[in-house]
Amino acid sequence: MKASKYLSIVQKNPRYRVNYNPIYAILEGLYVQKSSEELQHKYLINEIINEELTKDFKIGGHPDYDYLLNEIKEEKDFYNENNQVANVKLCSLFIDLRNFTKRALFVQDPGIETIQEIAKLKQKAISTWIKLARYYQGHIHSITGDGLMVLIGGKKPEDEDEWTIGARAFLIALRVLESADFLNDELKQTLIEKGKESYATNSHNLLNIKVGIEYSPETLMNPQGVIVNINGEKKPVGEVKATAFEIDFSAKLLGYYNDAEKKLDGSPKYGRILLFGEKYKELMDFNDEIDVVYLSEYSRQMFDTTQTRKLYYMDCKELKYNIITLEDVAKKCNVYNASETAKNVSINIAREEKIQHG
Amino acid sequence: MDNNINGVKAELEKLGFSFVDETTAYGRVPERGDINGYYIHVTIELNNFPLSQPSITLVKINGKDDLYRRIPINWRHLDEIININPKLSVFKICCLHNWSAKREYNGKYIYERIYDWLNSNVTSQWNPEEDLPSFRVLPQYTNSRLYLSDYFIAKLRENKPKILYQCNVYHEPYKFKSGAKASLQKQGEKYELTDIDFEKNFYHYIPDMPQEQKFEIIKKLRLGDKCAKSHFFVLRLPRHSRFKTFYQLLTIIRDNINIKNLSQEMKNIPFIVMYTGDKGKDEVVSFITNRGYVDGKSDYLVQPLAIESFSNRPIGVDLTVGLLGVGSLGSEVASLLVKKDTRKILLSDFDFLRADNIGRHVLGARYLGNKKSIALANELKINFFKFNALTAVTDEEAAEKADILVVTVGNNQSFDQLAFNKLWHYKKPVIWAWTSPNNILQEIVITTPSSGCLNCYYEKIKTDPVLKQIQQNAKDEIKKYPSEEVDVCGNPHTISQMERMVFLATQIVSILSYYSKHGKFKFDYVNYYWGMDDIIPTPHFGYLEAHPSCFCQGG
Ligand SMILES: [Zn+2]
Ligand SMILES: [Zn+2]
Repeated sequence: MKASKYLSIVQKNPRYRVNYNPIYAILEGLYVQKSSEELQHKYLINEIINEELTKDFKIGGHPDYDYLLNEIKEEKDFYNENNQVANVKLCSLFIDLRNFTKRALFVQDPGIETIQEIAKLKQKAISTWIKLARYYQGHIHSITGDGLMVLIGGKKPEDEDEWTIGARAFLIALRVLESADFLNDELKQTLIEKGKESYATNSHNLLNIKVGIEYSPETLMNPQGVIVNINGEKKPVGEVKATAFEIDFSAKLLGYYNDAEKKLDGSPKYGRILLFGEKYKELMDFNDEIDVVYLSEYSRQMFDTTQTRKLYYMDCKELKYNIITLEDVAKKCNVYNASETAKNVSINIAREEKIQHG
Repeated sequence: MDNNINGVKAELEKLGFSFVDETTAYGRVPERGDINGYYIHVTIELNNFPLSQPSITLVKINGKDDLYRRIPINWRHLDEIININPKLSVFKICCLHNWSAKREYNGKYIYERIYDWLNSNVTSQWNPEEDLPSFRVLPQYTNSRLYLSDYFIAKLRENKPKILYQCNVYHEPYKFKSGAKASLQKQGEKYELTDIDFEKNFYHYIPDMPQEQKFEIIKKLRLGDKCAKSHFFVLRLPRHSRFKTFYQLLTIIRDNINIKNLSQEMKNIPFIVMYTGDKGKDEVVSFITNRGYVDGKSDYLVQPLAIESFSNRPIGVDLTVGLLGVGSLGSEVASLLVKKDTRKILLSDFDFLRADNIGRHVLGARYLGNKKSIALANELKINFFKFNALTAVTDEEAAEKADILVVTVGNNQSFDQLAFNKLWHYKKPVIWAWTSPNNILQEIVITTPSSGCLNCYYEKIKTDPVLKQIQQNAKDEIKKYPSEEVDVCGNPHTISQMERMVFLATQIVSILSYYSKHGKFKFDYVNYYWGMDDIIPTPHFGYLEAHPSCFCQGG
């Protein structure tokens, strides 16, 4: 059993207790109203997301370490260890639309999708993932060709507990996999409306999302870039980067997607596989209720030494839509709450109203 | 209306029916020929047509009217109306399920339904929509009832088939057609069946089951001390014994079971019989026959008794719930939890039922001056047969043994004692609930180790714009109306709207039920605001974070 202070993080940050899946709030909007409970939950979640998207939101770098770039006055400052932060605990989450690039190849022939529709689909996916990442307080480190790199962890109160960093990455990953269902439902609908129903049933024409996570306990946060000269003033241009093998390993994991998919039973197969490295497995310590499957080994030689890392995956079919709160994740891991209990100070009750009790 | 019935009559006449009186048609189905060798004659009574469903009586099968023995044992959806002599039973065809007055339910439709009914019976092919799962072989049209328990039925199922067992059954002393009343000393079976008046008097039969508390209770409540007793024969028929009418059933019993050597004093013979129903399910029937039936000396006579049993429902809220405070709100929560089949309810309240509580509490006048927790536990235990589900305890015991607590105690001081002292480091969830005068604002707060504390909620009210607004609205609304009524002795009492109190109790029970199912909560707090004349409350819920300025955070 692993000790974690996740409850004290949940206690201060109610978004981790919200018992409603944010994917509905993001993708259904406020139009589909099933009940007043759902509507209130959607408002509540959208309020949190809206706040995240205004309050110092940016893409690239890391808001807790971006100040490092401001310290750079000249070229050699990039190499100064005082302008870097070592041993930062981060989870690196890499999301990618599988086989998406090829869609644009078919806009002329057979011409079922227009280039605008393809762009719209990708924009919808990327914006959904950004909102999900921000809801769980992850940082968008970069937008890649058809995907996104998210870093979870930093200097904020919610980053104080390393298991919680992993659990938040897990929640983002599940929500991203769920987004495949929503995006595909919409895609199928469009194909049906175009009278191309037969294409809607073939999964090759649908979207798939690959997600990989690795935990990087010793990340170096360092500014990268060049010094430019603007009107005689020297300024650094660039961004703060996370450097560690594990940070980039989350992207490498996606290369093993097909091996994992071959092992899946049932259909559809999209939106189910979460790939992760051995460091993440160790961090999370999933219990018996979760089937963690060993997939492969990543092995490289250099300086007469062989380094290997193990790769794992899990089928998230039964976890999607069921694991919503941070405590739901805790129930699937060998973790216990080690938060300190509140200290006793002088009681000062803030109640104002005269109330009648039952 | 008249046009309606005339149209139907004309249609039926076209199908070969003739009218024996203004509203009763008589005819043959099928109109010509037969179905697999069967044809029937029926009457269709159109009293109060079309609002009342036409009553269809089977009169003859293949031209013969000895239906009591002729009806094939595999026929279904046929209800026997018995009036003491099963040879004179009337058989109603049940083929117009879900009747309502509709233009398309005309004469032709009625005829076709009867045709389909006959067709289904002779081919044993039923349309699932016509074949209600609740259908029994023998219906139970009578006002006298026998109460059986799961335990009794289970025991009966274990009995050897064809062997007669006996049990004592209590009931009201019989009253006779002559106007006389039976003696309490004499066993019920020592009277002639035909002398007993089952028309104007309804009897309740309760088996003697000392091992079952609920039977002791209903015996006491229903019959009191002055009750009579009969010996019932209990019998299980072999699985292959099939019948459709009372007459056929009685014949099976008489021909197969050894019921000789009865005491000469036995004038009527009560039975409880288990048999295998149409769909292979066990069915139980109860009736009283005449002595002459057993001896073979006279016609069979039968008085059926309807059977009722108490449901043994599965646990609905699988929790031990501790109720701290069982006043106006807490007692409603307790009462609902009992009906939700909660695993265990612990009640704690040091208060006694006062005169002004009457009409504001689940407990009524007969508990005046009793301790609320103990009286409520007893009342609910007995009324709902939940002997092990309720216990009156202290706050400390409730806190220790419960999976979750519901606090609805009477005043701010006791509330604070619990919130900021006794339950301050409590590791299990606590549901706090309170209400304003006139129930204009009702609040529920759920605290757990992962939420803020109750005082964090008070802090949140001051800063959260929505909560602040709700509090202000409530304050303004409360001010408009009197909050207290002063009784004749000069004691003030806060005014409650009881229907809103009950509503709040339903919400607490819904929260408990959700927690029981999912192990988590849908929100940490919920407010219900009711304008004085609102019928529907306006809910607002949210999540409770530890407030930085609360003393629980060292603030
Ligand atoms: Zn029927
Ligand atoms: Zn607090």
